[in-house]
Amino acid sequence: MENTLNDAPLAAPVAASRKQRDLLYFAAILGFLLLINFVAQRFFFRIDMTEEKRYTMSPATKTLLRDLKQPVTITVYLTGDFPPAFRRLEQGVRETLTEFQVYGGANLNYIFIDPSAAGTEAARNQFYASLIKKGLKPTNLGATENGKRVEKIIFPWAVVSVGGQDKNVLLLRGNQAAAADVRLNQSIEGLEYELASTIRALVPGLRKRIGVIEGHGELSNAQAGDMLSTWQQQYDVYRVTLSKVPDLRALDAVVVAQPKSPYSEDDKFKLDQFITQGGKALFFVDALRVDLDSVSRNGVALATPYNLNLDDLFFKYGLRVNQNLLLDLNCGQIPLVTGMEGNKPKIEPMPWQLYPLINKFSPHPITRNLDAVYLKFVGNLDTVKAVGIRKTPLMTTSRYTRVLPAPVPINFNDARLEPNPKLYQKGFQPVAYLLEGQFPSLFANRARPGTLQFQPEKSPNGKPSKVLVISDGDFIRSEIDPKTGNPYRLGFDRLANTEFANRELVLNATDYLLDETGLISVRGKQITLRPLDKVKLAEQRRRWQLLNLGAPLALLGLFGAVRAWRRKRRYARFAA
Amino acid sequence: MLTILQKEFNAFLNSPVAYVVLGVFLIATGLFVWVFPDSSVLDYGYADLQTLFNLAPWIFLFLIPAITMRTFAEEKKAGTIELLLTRPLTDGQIIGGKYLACFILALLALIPTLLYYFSVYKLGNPEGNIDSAATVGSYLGLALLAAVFAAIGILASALTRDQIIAFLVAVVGCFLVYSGFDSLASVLEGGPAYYVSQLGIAAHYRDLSKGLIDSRDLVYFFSVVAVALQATRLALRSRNW
Repeated sequence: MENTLNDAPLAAPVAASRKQRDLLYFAAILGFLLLINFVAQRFFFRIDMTEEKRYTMSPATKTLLRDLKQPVTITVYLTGDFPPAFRRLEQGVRETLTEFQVYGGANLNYIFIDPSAAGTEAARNQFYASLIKKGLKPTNLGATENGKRVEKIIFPWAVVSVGGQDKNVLLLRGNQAAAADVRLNQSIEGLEYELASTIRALVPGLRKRIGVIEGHGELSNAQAGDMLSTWQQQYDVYRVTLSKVPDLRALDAVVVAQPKSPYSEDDKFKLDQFITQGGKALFFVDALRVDLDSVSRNGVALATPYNLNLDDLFFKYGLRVNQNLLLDLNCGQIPLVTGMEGNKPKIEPMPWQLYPLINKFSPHPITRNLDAVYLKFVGNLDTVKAVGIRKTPLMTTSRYTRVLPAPVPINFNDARLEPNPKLYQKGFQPVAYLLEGQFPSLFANRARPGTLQFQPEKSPNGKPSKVLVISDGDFIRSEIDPKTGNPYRLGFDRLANTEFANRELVLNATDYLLDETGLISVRGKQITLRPLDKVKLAEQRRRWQLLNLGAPLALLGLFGAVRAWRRKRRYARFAA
Repeated sequence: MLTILQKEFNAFLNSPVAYVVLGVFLIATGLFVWVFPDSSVLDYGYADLQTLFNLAPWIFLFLIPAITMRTFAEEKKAGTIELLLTRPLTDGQIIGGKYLACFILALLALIPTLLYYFSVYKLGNPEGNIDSAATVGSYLGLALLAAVFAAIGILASALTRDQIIAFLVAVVGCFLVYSGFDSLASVLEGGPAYYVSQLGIAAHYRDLSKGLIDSRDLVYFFSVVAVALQATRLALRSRNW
């Protein structure tokens, strides 16, 4: 009801002013609260009550997301009607992305799309096909639902889009050898890193420069092809001939991939100076030469030591690449003629102990939660004393390892024999080392090769550096598809038709060596797996259901009864 | 204020309706958390109470309006509101007393669900393998949610003299503030969608329900409570305009 001035000239000012005052007061409070909320958006804190601080993003992730200059859209296809373990992974993706949004704000958007949501079978298959065409490989999921086996197709992928560029992220990772829910948990642990590093790779920034050394029989562009193109998505990659450049100063990292002929003193000098001045390096070196063609031709061949002229360099850095070959009972396979079928040779895959499969990793960010990797003809590494260098063994062979010192006879027929477990007792031989620290120069107090210029003991602008050494040159060599001549994906084994995690390890290592923001350390994130006791569940399901359904009601009933009784007594007393 | 609180509190618990409402609440949560295979903890297989915290907003949506509907509406209908308002009490004290009573009643309804925590604790492998700190945080989030719904419910009750209408207005109001903004955001895109969804309760409850306490969510919740209670005050005072 409103009074106008005409109706009630005397009462109106009073009533209107009271109303005005109330409304004004309300508006003031509203304004004040808006202001507080506005300020709170700028200055906020978050308390993560969870035990493992699972929702706390690393400083590197936060910085990355806060500094986003353009919208990032993340499309997740992992949603739909899943068994619980996968629901948990989906939940993990959702949680990670909501956390991302806290720091990315309006620049970070995500959508979930259920690939199976289409109404008709045909539309669904068409959508599936369009996803597969984008490179999103589906996973076939066998799950038990209400006691029935059901087959499901899921797409454990997310696509990150920035400024018209797309990159796929595989969400299902982890060690395949682990139990399913442990593996899914490992995938959840890796989510922050996978998503954040993909965003980083797409957001334009200063690209680091990697030089791949050539001139000593190193891997060709085709043989190292998959790794080179993987690197190219994030880094600028150059082939570098050491003898043709004065120094390597323009680069951030160098890669030495399976050299076969010796490094000259001058080449070695350039490498050494690069590393002692803070340049990063990845070495994939074989100690022994294995000529497989010769083995096929003659049935047997000797693996003999290479002379790469790098031993003294490694030794100075605290490492020795031993001249031996490791045989591991946990190994890959080679195809062998095992007999004749009519007039056709019968070919069967046989275990080949010289191709170890590694799934024993250190809990280092480079290797944590990694699937198995594939090695071919690998020797072990020893450490020697080097002041100021921290040495981390990243992976070792399995418990059942045999060490054969050079020269090693290689004979395909060995694969036919049942290995004698008694010979495989040398367990856990390290095959990859990460070296970190201020590297001492091999040429300290010595003249630069070919000159009379003496080198100072301490490099004047020496910075700490990181070096990775893997004693297997084949580690980053892709198999070549014989039909097309193109390299397969690194780590793909044609015979086993599976992909091993070699590529992931190399990429993690490059990230670790070159990343100054520390994003890679996010790979160390741990999330506790908290399963329910399955045995107890199966036995006592009904009991717990009854308890949790019945007891609260009983409690409520009891509460009501006591109250009613007390009330009755009280009023009864009044009446008396 | 305390007298009002006590009076409201007892009035609610003395009515048989209270036991029906609380009973329905407990049966519903019990069934969802422990029996229905799509949502039950037992079928999920992991030791956390996320089901409860995801579900509770939807059940609170009905429970809390049922608690708050009578606060002002009934007094208005019975005419006792005039008596109350002419007492030497400020409007703030009356609203505060009634509001706190409703809030505490909602918390009371949550107490039996602590048994769920105990059960999951016992069923964990190994026993006790549950993130207790996170659960405490989630309960805190649930309490804050109850605080907001109760404030909206009180406002709805102050706007009408019919309990049923107060209940319905509160349910619709809570629903709109809870998820309406999210729905609106889903038809928008990009930046605006984010800001619109931030206006709703759901966006702020999501973090809290996981045991993640964000100062912005706290400020938001207290603001919504303050706005709703101030609006209630406005509604009461408007009779003098």
